[in-house]
Amino acid sequence: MSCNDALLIVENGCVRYQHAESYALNHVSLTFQRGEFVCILGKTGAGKSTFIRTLNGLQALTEGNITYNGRSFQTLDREGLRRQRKKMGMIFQHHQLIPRLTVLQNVYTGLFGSRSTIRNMAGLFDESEKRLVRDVVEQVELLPHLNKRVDLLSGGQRQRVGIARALAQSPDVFLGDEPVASLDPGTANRIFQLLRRLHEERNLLTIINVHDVKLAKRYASRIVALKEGRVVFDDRPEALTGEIEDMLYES
Amino acid sequence: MTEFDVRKFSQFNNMIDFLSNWFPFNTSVLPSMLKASLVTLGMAFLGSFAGLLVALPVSLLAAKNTAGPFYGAVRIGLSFVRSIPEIVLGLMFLTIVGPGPFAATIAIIVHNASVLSKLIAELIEAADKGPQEAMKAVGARPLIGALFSIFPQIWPNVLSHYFYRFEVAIRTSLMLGLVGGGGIGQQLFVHFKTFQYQTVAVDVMLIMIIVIVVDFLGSRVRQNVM
Repeated sequence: MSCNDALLIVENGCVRYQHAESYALNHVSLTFQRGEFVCILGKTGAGKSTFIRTLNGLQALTEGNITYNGRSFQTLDREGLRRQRKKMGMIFQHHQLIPRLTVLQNVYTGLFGSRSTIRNMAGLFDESEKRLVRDVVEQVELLPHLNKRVDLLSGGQRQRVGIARALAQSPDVFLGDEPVASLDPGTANRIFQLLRRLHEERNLLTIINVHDVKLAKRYASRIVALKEGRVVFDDRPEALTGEIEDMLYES
Repeated sequence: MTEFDVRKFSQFNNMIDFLSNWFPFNTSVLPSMLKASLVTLGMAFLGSFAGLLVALPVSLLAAKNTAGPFYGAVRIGLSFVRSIPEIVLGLMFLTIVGPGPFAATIAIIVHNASVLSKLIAELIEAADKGPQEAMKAVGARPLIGALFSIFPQIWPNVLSHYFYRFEVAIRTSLMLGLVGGGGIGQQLFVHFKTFQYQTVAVDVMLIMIIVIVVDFLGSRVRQNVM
Protein backbone atom coordinates (compact mmCIF):
# COMPACT_ATOMS: atom_id res chain seq x y z
CA MET A 1 0.00 0.00 0.00
CA SER A 2 1.45 3.34 -0.91
CA CYS A 3 1.14 6.33 1.37
CA ASN A 4 -0.58 8.15 -1.50
CA ASP A 5 -3.69 5.93 -1.12
CA ALA A 6 -3.70 6.39 2.62
CA LEU A 7 -6.63 8.09 4.29
CA LEU A 8 -5.26 7.95 7.82
CA ILE A 9 -1.60 7.70 8.79
CA VAL A 10 -0.22 7.30 12.30
CA GLU A 11 3.50 8.01 12.52
CA ASN A 12 5.43 7.03 15.59
CA GLY A 13 2.36 7.71 17.78
CA CYS A 14 2.96 7.71 21.52
CA VAL A 15 0.68 8.44 24.44
CA ARG A 16 1.95 8.64 27.97
CA TYR A 17 -0.65 9.56 30.59
CA GLN A 18 0.27 11.90 33.42
CA HIS A 19 2.04 10.12 36.29
CA ALA A 20 2.16 6.85 34.28
CA GLU A 21 5.45 5.00 34.24
CA SER A 22 5.01 3.42 30.83
CA TYR A 23 3.53 4.38 27.47
CA ALA A 24 -0.15 3.59 26.84
CA LEU A 25 0.74 3.76 23.15
CA ASN A 26 4.33 3.12 22.27
CA HIS A 27 5.72 4.36 18.94
CA VAL A 28 2.86 3.06 16.80
CA SER A 29 3.13 3.57 13.04
CA LEU A 30 0.21 2.42 10.90
CA THR A 31 -1.31 3.44 7.58
CA PHE A 32 -4.99 2.91 6.76
CA GLN A 33 -6.78 3.33 3.47
CA ARG A 34 -10.39 3.67 2.43
CA GLY A 35 -12.22 0.36 2.10
CA GLU A 36 -10.31 -1.41 4.86
CA PHE A 37 -12.24 -3.02 7.72
CA VAL A 38 -9.67 -3.15 10.51
CA CYS A 39 -10.14 -4.83 13.87
CA ILE A 40 -7.81 -3.92 16.71
CA LEU A 41 -7.13 -6.79 19.09
CA GLY A 42 -5.37 -6.92 22.41
CA LYS A 43 -6.12 -7.64 26.01
CA THR A 44 -7.41 -5.05 28.47
CA GLY A 45 -4.82 -2.31 28.97
CA ALA A 46 -3.04 -3.05 25.68
CA GLY A 47 -3.76 0.48 24.42
CA LYS A 48 -6.69 -0.24 22.06
CA SER A 49 -9.02 2.46 23.40
CA THR A 50 -6.20 4.98 23.62
CA PHE A 51 -5.28 4.21 20.01
CA ILE A 52 -8.85 4.61 18.69
CA ARG A 53 -9.31 7.85 20.61
CA THR A 54 -6.13 9.33 19.16
CA LEU A 55 -7.44 8.75 15.62
CA ASN A 56 -10.10 11.48 15.94
CA GLY A 57 -8.15 13.59 18.41
CA LEU A 58 -10.24 12.79 21.50
CA GLN A 59 -6.88 11.81 22.96
CA ALA A 60 -3.85 13.85 21.93
CA LEU A 61 -0.58 12.12 21.08
CA THR A 62 2.29 13.02 23.37
CA GLU A 63 4.75 12.20 20.57
CA GLY A 64 4.36 11.47 16.87
CA ASN A 65 1.77 12.59 14.38
CA ILE A 66 -1.52 11.64 12.74
CA THR A 67 -2.41 12.68 9.21
CA TYR A 68 -6.02 12.45 8.02
CA ASN A 69 -6.94 13.20 4.45
CA GLY A 70 -3.53 14.80 3.91
CA ARG A 71 -3.82 17.13 6.93
CA SER A 72 -1.57 16.71 9.92
CA PHE A 73 -3.26 16.91 13.34
CA GLN A 74 -0.16 18.72 14.64
CA THR A 75 -0.90 21.71 12.44
CA LEU A 76 -4.53 21.98 13.55
CA ASP A 77 -5.94 24.18 16.28
CA ARG A 78 -9.05 23.19 18.26
CA GLU A 79 -11.41 24.42 15.53
CA GLY A 80 -9.39 22.61 12.85
CA LEU A 81 -9.55 19.38 14.84
CA ARG A 82 -13.29 19.81 15.27
CA ARG A 83 -13.68 20.13 11.51
CA GLN A 84 -11.68 16.93 10.98
CA ARG A 85 -13.89 15.02 13.41
CA LYS A 86 -17.00 15.87 11.41
CA LYS A 87 -16.14 13.15 8.92
CA MET A 88 -15.07 10.58 11.50
CA GLY A 89 -18.05 8.75 12.99
CA MET A 90 -17.43 7.09 16.31
CA ILE A 91 -19.35 4.48 18.25
CA PHE A 92 -18.66 3.71 21.90
CA GLN A 93 -18.93 0.71 24.20
CA HIS A 94 -21.48 2.44 26.42
CA HIS A 95 -23.23 4.09 23.45
CA GLN A 96 -22.82 7.59 24.98
CA LEU A 97 -26.33 8.54 23.85
CA ILE A 98 -28.11 11.51 25.36
CA PRO A 99 -30.58 10.11 27.88
CA ARG A 100 -34.18 11.30 27.89
CA LEU A 101 -33.97 12.24 24.21
CA THR A 102 -35.62 10.13 21.52
CA VAL A 103 -33.92 7.99 18.88
CA LEU A 104 -34.62 10.70 16.29
CA GLN A 105 -33.23 13.52 18.46
CA ASN A 106 -30.08 11.53 19.22
CA VAL A 107 -29.48 10.80 15.56
CA TYR A 108 -29.95 14.48 14.69
CA THR A 109 -27.01 15.31 16.96
CA GLY A 110 -24.79 13.54 14.41
CA LEU A 111 -25.38 16.55 12.13
CA PHE A 112 -24.26 19.12 14.70
CA GLY A 113 -20.67 19.32 13.50
CA SER A 114 -21.58 20.48 10.02
CA ARG A 115 -24.22 23.09 10.88
CA SER A 116 -24.23 26.58 12.33
CA THR A 117 -24.68 27.10 16.07
CA ILE A 118 -27.88 29.09 15.50
CA ARG A 119 -29.49 26.39 13.35
CA ASN A 120 -28.52 23.76 15.91
CA MET A 121 -29.89 25.79 18.80
CA ALA A 122 -33.13 26.53 16.99
CA GLY A 123 -33.48 22.90 15.88
CA LEU A 124 -33.93 23.92 12.25
CA PHE A 125 -33.33 21.07 9.81
CA ASP A 126 -33.93 21.26 6.10
CA GLU A 127 -35.65 18.56 4.05
CA SER A 128 -32.42 16.89 2.90
CA GLU A 129 -31.20 16.64 6.51
CA LYS A 130 -34.51 15.18 7.65
CA ARG A 131 -34.35 12.65 4.82
CA LEU A 132 -30.75 11.74 5.68
CA VAL A 133 -31.63 11.13 9.33
CA ARG A 134 -34.66 9.05 8.43
CA ASP A 135 -32.56 7.03 5.96
CA VAL A 136 -29.87 6.20 8.49
CA VAL A 137 -32.46 5.24 11.11
CA GLU A 138 -34.00 2.97 8.48
CA GLN A 139 -30.59 1.48 7.68
CA VAL A 140 -30.09 0.46 11.30
CA GLU A 141 -33.67 -0.90 11.35
CA LEU A 142 -34.97 1.38 14.08
CA LEU A 143 -37.80 3.14 12.21
CA PRO A 144 -40.49 1.62 14.49
CA HIS A 145 -38.68 3.15 17.48
CA LEU A 146 -38.10 6.58 15.96
CA ASN A 147 -39.83 8.54 18.71
CA LYS A 148 -38.98 6.28 21.61
CA ARG A 149 -36.66 7.56 24.34
CA VAL A 150 -33.24 5.92 24.05
CA ASP A 151 -33.13 5.00 27.73
CA LEU A 152 -36.09 2.68 27.08
CA LEU A 153 -34.25 0.67 24.39
CA SER A 154 -32.23 -2.56 24.74
CA GLY A 155 -28.41 -2.51 24.63
CA GLY A 156 -28.34 -3.70 21.00
CA GLN A 157 -30.91 -1.10 19.94
CA ARG A 158 -28.96 1.64 21.71
CA GLN A 159 -25.83 0.63 19.86
CA ARG A 160 -27.79 0.87 16.62
CA VAL A 161 -28.76 4.44 17.58
CA GLY A 162 -25.05 5.13 18.16
CA ILE A 163 -24.29 3.75 14.69
CA ALA A 164 -27.09 5.84 13.13
CA ARG A 165 -25.73 8.97 14.83
CA ALA A 166 -22.28 8.27 13.40
CA LEU A 167 -23.81 7.58 9.96
CA ALA A 168 -25.65 10.91 10.07
CA GLN A 169 -22.20 12.51 9.94
CA SER A 170 -21.81 11.00 6.42
CA PRO A 171 -18.39 9.83 7.58
CA ASP A 172 -15.35 8.70 5.61
CA VAL A 173 -14.02 6.89 8.66
CA PHE A 174 -15.93 4.77 11.15
CA LEU A 175 -14.28 4.26 14.53
CA GLY A 176 -15.54 1.83 17.17
CA ASP A 177 -14.29 1.69 20.74
CA GLU A 178 -15.35 -1.81 21.81
CA PRO A 179 -18.89 -1.30 20.50
CA VAL A 180 -20.02 -4.86 21.24
CA ALA A 181 -18.22 -5.48 24.54
CA SER A 182 -21.38 -5.15 26.61
CA LEU A 183 -23.63 -7.12 24.24
CA ASP A 184 -24.50 -10.83 24.12
CA PRO A 185 -22.79 -12.88 21.35
CA GLY A 186 -25.87 -12.98 19.08
CA THR A 187 -26.47 -9.24 19.28
CA ALA A 188 -22.73 -8.57 18.88
CA ASN A 189 -22.71 -10.65 15.71
CA ARG A 190 -25.74 -8.78 14.30
CA ILE A 191 -24.09 -5.42 15.07
CA PHE A 192 -20.94 -6.54 13.23
CA GLN A 193 -23.04 -7.73 10.27
CA LEU A 194 -24.64 -4.29 10.15
CA LEU A 195 -21.28 -2.52 10.43
CA ARG A 196 -19.80 -4.67 7.67
CA ARG A 197 -22.80 -4.02 5.38
CA LEU A 198 -22.66 -0.25 5.97
CA HIS A 199 -18.89 -0.32 5.50
CA GLU A 200 -19.28 -1.94 2.08
CA GLU A 201 -22.22 0.21 0.95
CA ARG A 202 -20.37 3.42 1.79
CA ASN A 203 -16.80 2.33 1.06
CA LEU A 204 -15.63 3.50 4.48
CA LEU A 205 -12.44 3.04 6.40
CA THR A 206 -13.64 1.17 9.49
CA ILE A 207 -11.42 0.68 12.54
CA ILE A 208 -12.91 -1.15 15.50
CA ASN A 209 -11.55 -2.37 18.84
CA VAL A 210 -12.82 -5.77 19.74
CA HIS A 211 -12.10 -8.43 22.36
CA ASP A 212 -13.69 -11.30 20.47
CA VAL A 213 -11.06 -12.79 18.14
CA LYS A 214 -13.68 -14.85 16.29
CA LEU A 215 -15.64 -11.72 15.38
CA ALA A 216 -12.46 -10.00 14.21
CA LYS A 217 -11.49 -12.99 12.05
CA ARG A 218 -14.99 -13.28 10.57
CA TYR A 219 -15.50 -9.63 9.62
CA ALA A 220 -12.13 -7.85 9.35
CA SER A 221 -10.09 -7.43 6.20
CA ARG A 222 -7.08 -6.59 8.37
CA ILE A 223 -6.22 -7.24 11.99
CA VAL A 224 -3.88 -5.12 14.06
CA ALA A 225 -2.89 -6.45 17.48
CA LEU A 226 -1.49 -4.38 20.29
CA LYS A 227 0.43 -5.51 23.32
CA GLU A 228 1.64 -3.09 25.98
CA GLY A 229 1.01 -0.22 23.58
CA ARG A 230 3.06 -1.68 20.72
CA VAL A 231 1.90 -3.18 17.44
CA VAL A 232 2.77 -6.86 17.56
CA PHE A 233 0.68 -8.06 14.61
CA ASP A 234 -0.57 -6.36 11.46
CA ASP A 235 -1.82 -8.64 8.71
CA ARG A 236 -4.81 -10.35 7.11
CA PRO A 237 -7.07 -12.34 9.48
CA GLU A 238 -5.93 -15.69 8.03
CA ALA A 239 -2.39 -14.97 9.27
CA LEU A 240 -3.50 -14.72 12.91
CA THR A 241 -2.45 -18.12 14.28
CA GLY A 242 -3.24 -19.74 17.60
CA GLU A 243 0.30 -19.04 18.78
CA ILE A 244 -0.08 -15.33 18.12
CA GLU A 245 -3.43 -15.32 19.95
CA ASP A 246 -1.83 -17.06 22.93
CA MET A 247 0.99 -14.51 22.92
CA LEU A 248 -1.54 -11.64 22.78
CA TYR A 249 -3.69 -12.79 25.65
CA GLU A 250 -1.08 -14.41 27.92
CA SER A 251 -0.96 -12.82 31.34
CA MET B 1 -25.42 31.39 74.02
CA THR B 2 -28.79 30.33 72.57
CA GLU B 3 -30.55 30.64 75.95
CA PHE B 4 -31.88 27.11 75.41
CA ASP B 5 -33.96 26.29 78.47
CA VAL B 6 -36.69 23.62 78.48
CA ARG B 7 -38.22 25.13 81.62
CA LYS B 8 -39.39 28.10 79.58
CA PHE B 9 -41.99 25.79 77.96
CA SER B 10 -43.96 26.10 81.19
CA GLN B 11 -45.40 29.25 79.54
CA PHE B 12 -47.06 27.04 76.87
CA ASN B 13 -50.50 28.38 77.87
CA ASN B 14 -49.53 31.78 76.47
CA MET B 15 -49.41 30.33 72.99
CA ILE B 16 -52.80 28.66 73.37
CA ASP B 17 -54.27 31.95 74.58
CA PHE B 18 -52.66 33.74 71.64
CA LEU B 19 -53.95 31.23 69.07
CA SER B 20 -57.44 31.28 70.56
CA ASN B 21 -57.65 34.94 69.52
CA TRP B 22 -57.44 33.79 65.88
CA PHE B 23 -60.97 32.32 65.93
CA PRO B 24 -63.40 32.77 64.32
CA PHE B 25 -61.70 33.62 61.03
CA ASN B 26 -62.51 37.03 59.62
CA THR B 27 -63.76 35.82 56.22
CA SER B 28 -64.97 39.28 55.19
CA VAL B 29 -61.38 40.14 54.17
CA LEU B 30 -61.06 37.04 52.00
CA PRO B 31 -61.59 38.76 48.59
CA SER B 32 -58.96 41.46 49.25
CA MET B 33 -56.57 38.94 50.84
CA LEU B 34 -56.97 36.63 47.83
CA LYS B 35 -55.91 39.55 45.65
CA ALA B 36 -52.89 40.18 47.90
CA SER B 37 -52.08 36.43 47.75
CA LEU B 38 -52.05 36.61 43.96
CA VAL B 39 -49.59 39.52 44.18
CA THR B 40 -47.34 37.40 46.43
CA LEU B 41 -47.65 34.42 44.10
CA GLY B 42 -46.83 36.64 41.12
CA MET B 43 -43.76 38.08 42.87
CA ALA B 44 -42.53 34.62 43.81
CA PHE B 45 -43.18 33.15 40.35
CA LEU B 46 -41.65 36.01 38.37
CA GLY B 47 -38.76 36.29 40.81
CA SER B 48 -37.85 32.61 40.71
CA PHE B 49 -38.60 32.10 36.99
CA ALA B 50 -36.61 35.13 35.83
CA GLY B 51 -33.90 33.98 38.24
CA LEU B 52 -33.91 30.59 36.48
CA LEU B 53 -33.66 32.22 33.04
CA VAL B 54 -30.61 34.18 34.20
CA ALA B 55 -29.14 31.15 35.98
CA LEU B 56 -29.22 28.81 32.96
CA PRO B 57 -26.51 30.60 30.94
CA VAL B 58 -24.60 31.79 34.03
CA SER B 59 -24.38 28.21 35.36
CA LEU B 60 -22.41 27.24 32.23
CA LEU B 61 -19.86 29.88 33.21
CA ALA B 62 -19.82 28.65 36.81
CA ALA B 63 -19.20 24.94 36.13
CA LYS B 64 -15.62 23.70 35.98
CA ASN B 65 -16.17 21.58 32.87
CA THR B 66 -17.84 24.30 30.75
CA ALA B 67 -16.63 27.63 32.18
CA GLY B 68 -13.16 27.98 30.75
CA PRO B 69 -11.19 30.95 32.13
CA PHE B 70 -14.26 32.59 33.75
CA TYR B 71 -14.80 29.89 36.37
CA GLY B 72 -13.09 31.51 39.37
CA ALA B 73 -14.44 35.01 38.79
CA VAL B 74 -18.02 33.83 38.21
CA ARG B 75 -17.97 31.61 41.32
CA ILE B 76 -16.68 34.45 43.49
CA GLY B 77 -19.29 36.83 42.03
CA LEU B 78 -22.09 34.35 42.75
CA SER B 79 -20.89 33.78 46.32
CA PHE B 80 -20.83 37.54 46.85
CA VAL B 81 -24.40 38.05 45.60
CA ARG B 82 -25.65 34.98 47.50
CA SER B 83 -24.21 36.29 50.75
CA ILE B 84 -26.48 39.37 50.66
CA PRO B 85 -29.76 38.61 52.50
CA GLU B 86 -32.86 39.06 50.34
CA ILE B 87 -34.26 41.58 52.82
CA VAL B 88 -31.15 43.75 52.35
CA LEU B 89 -31.47 43.44 48.57
CA GLY B 90 -35.15 44.41 48.93
CA LEU B 91 -34.24 47.51 50.94
CA MET B 92 -31.58 48.43 48.37
CA PHE B 93 -33.96 48.17 45.41
CA LEU B 94 -36.66 49.93 47.39
CA THR B 95 -34.47 53.03 47.39
CA ILE B 96 -34.35 52.92 43.58
CA VAL B 97 -37.87 51.92 42.48
CA GLY B 98 -39.82 52.83 45.62
CA PRO B 99 -41.89 50.57 47.88
CA GLY B 100 -44.07 47.83 46.39
CA PRO B 101 -43.91 44.43 44.71
CA PHE B 102 -41.46 45.55 41.99
CA ALA B 103 -38.55 46.11 44.40
CA ALA B 104 -39.32 42.80 46.12
CA THR B 105 -39.47 40.97 42.78
CA ILE B 106 -36.07 42.31 41.69
CA ALA B 107 -34.58 41.25 45.02
CA ILE B 108 -35.98 37.73 44.53
CA ILE B 109 -34.68 37.59 40.94
CA VAL B 110 -31.14 38.60 41.96
CA HIS B 111 -30.97 36.19 44.89
CA ASN B 112 -32.49 33.27 42.99
CA ALA B 113 -30.28 33.83 39.95
CA SER B 114 -27.20 33.44 42.13
CA VAL B 115 -28.51 30.45 44.10
CA LEU B 116 -29.82 28.60 41.04
CA SER B 117 -26.61 29.35 39.09
CA LYS B 118 -24.58 27.60 41.77
CA LEU B 119 -26.98 24.65 42.06
CA ILE B 120 -27.22 24.15 38.29
CA ALA B 121 -23.43 24.54 37.90
CA GLU B 122 -23.00 21.66 40.34
CA LEU B 123 -25.45 19.53 38.33
CA ILE B 124 -23.47 20.36 35.16
CA GLU B 125 -20.23 19.28 36.82
CA ALA B 126 -21.78 15.99 37.93
CA ALA B 127 -23.43 15.19 34.55
CA ASP B 128 -22.36 11.99 32.75
CA LYS B 129 -19.26 12.75 30.66
CA GLY B 130 -20.12 10.11 28.02
CA PRO B 131 -22.65 12.14 25.99
CA GLN B 132 -20.34 15.18 26.21
CA GLU B 133 -17.54 13.14 24.68
CA ALA B 134 -19.92 11.88 21.98
CA MET B 135 -20.79 15.49 21.07
CA LYS B 136 -17.07 16.26 20.82
CA ALA B 137 -16.66 13.21 18.60
CA VAL B 138 -19.36 14.35 16.13
CA GLY B 139 -17.53 17.67 15.80
CA ALA B 140 -20.15 19.77 17.64
CA ARG B 141 -19.01 23.20 18.83
CA PRO B 142 -18.42 23.32 22.61
CA LEU B 143 -21.53 25.40 23.39
CA ILE B 144 -23.84 23.17 21.36
CA GLY B 145 -22.17 20.07 22.77
CA ALA B 146 -22.70 21.30 26.32
CA LEU B 147 -26.31 22.39 25.73
CA PHE B 148 -27.44 19.18 24.10
CA SER B 149 -25.43 16.64 26.06
CA ILE B 150 -25.79 18.14 29.55
CA PHE B 151 -29.15 19.90 29.86
CA PRO B 152 -31.38 16.96 28.83
CA GLN B 153 -29.60 14.89 31.52
CA ILE B 154 -29.99 17.39 34.34
CA TRP B 155 -33.37 18.89 33.42
CA PRO B 156 -35.50 16.99 36.02
CA ASN B 157 -33.07 18.07 38.76
CA VAL B 158 -33.07 21.66 37.47
CA LEU B 159 -36.87 21.68 37.73
CA SER B 160 -36.69 20.15 41.17
CA HIS B 161 -34.36 22.95 42.32
CA TYR B 162 -36.56 25.51 40.58
CA PHE B 163 -39.76 24.45 42.32
CA TYR B 164 -37.99 24.38 45.66
CA ARG B 165 -36.71 27.92 45.04
CA PHE B 166 -40.24 28.96 43.95
CA GLU B 167 -41.53 27.71 47.31
CA VAL B 168 -38.72 29.55 49.12
CA ALA B 169 -39.51 32.68 47.07
CA ILE B 170 -43.08 32.64 48.42
CA ARG B 171 -41.70 32.77 51.96
CA THR B 172 -39.14 35.39 50.90
CA SER B 173 -41.85 37.60 49.39
CA LEU B 174 -43.69 37.41 52.72
CA MET B 175 -40.56 38.62 54.50
CA LEU B 176 -40.10 41.37 51.94
CA GLY B 177 -43.65 42.45 52.71
CA LEU B 178 -42.36 43.53 56.12
CA VAL B 179 -40.20 46.17 54.44
CA GLY B 180 -42.93 47.43 52.12
CA GLY B 181 -42.66 44.77 49.40
CA GLY B 182 -46.44 44.45 49.05
CA GLY B 183 -48.53 41.30 48.74
CA ILE B 184 -49.98 39.23 51.54
CA GLY B 185 -46.72 39.51 53.53
CA GLN B 186 -47.25 43.22 53.97
CA GLN B 187 -50.93 42.63 54.91
CA LEU B 188 -49.88 40.01 57.47
CA PHE B 189 -47.42 42.47 59.00
CA VAL B 190 -50.06 45.22 59.20
CA HIS B 191 -52.70 42.87 60.66
CA PHE B 192 -50.22 41.66 63.30
CA LYS B 193 -49.18 45.13 64.29
CA THR B 194 -52.83 46.20 64.64
CA PHE B 195 -53.80 43.04 66.63
CA GLN B 196 -56.30 41.86 63.98
CA TYR B 197 -55.62 38.22 64.79
CA GLN B 198 -58.81 36.89 63.14
CA THR B 199 -57.59 38.43 59.90
CA VAL B 200 -54.04 37.14 60.56
CA ALA B 201 -55.59 33.65 60.63
CA VAL B 202 -57.00 34.18 57.12
CA ASP B 203 -53.60 35.43 55.90
CA VAL B 204 -51.81 32.39 57.35
CA MET B 205 -54.35 29.96 55.88
CA LEU B 206 -53.96 31.51 52.42
CA ILE B 207 -50.14 31.35 52.68
CA MET B 208 -50.32 27.67 53.65
CA ILE B 209 -52.64 26.92 50.72
CA ILE B 210 -50.28 28.68 48.27
CA VAL B 211 -47.25 26.71 49.52
CA ILE B 212 -49.11 23.38 49.37
CA VAL B 213 -50.48 24.08 45.87
CA VAL B 214 -47.03 25.07 44.56
CA ASP B 215 -45.48 21.95 46.09
CA PHE B 216 -48.20 19.77 44.51
CA LEU B 217 -47.80 21.43 41.09
CA GLY B 218 -44.03 21.04 41.31
CA SER B 219 -44.22 17.33 41.98
CA ARG B 220 -46.72 16.86 39.10
CA VAL B 221 -44.45 18.72 36.65
CA ARG B 222 -41.37 16.76 37.81
CA GLN B 223 -43.28 13.48 37.38
CA ASN B 224 -44.16 14.39 33.79
CA VAL B 225 -40.60 15.45 32.97
CA MET B 226 -38.75 12.44 34.44
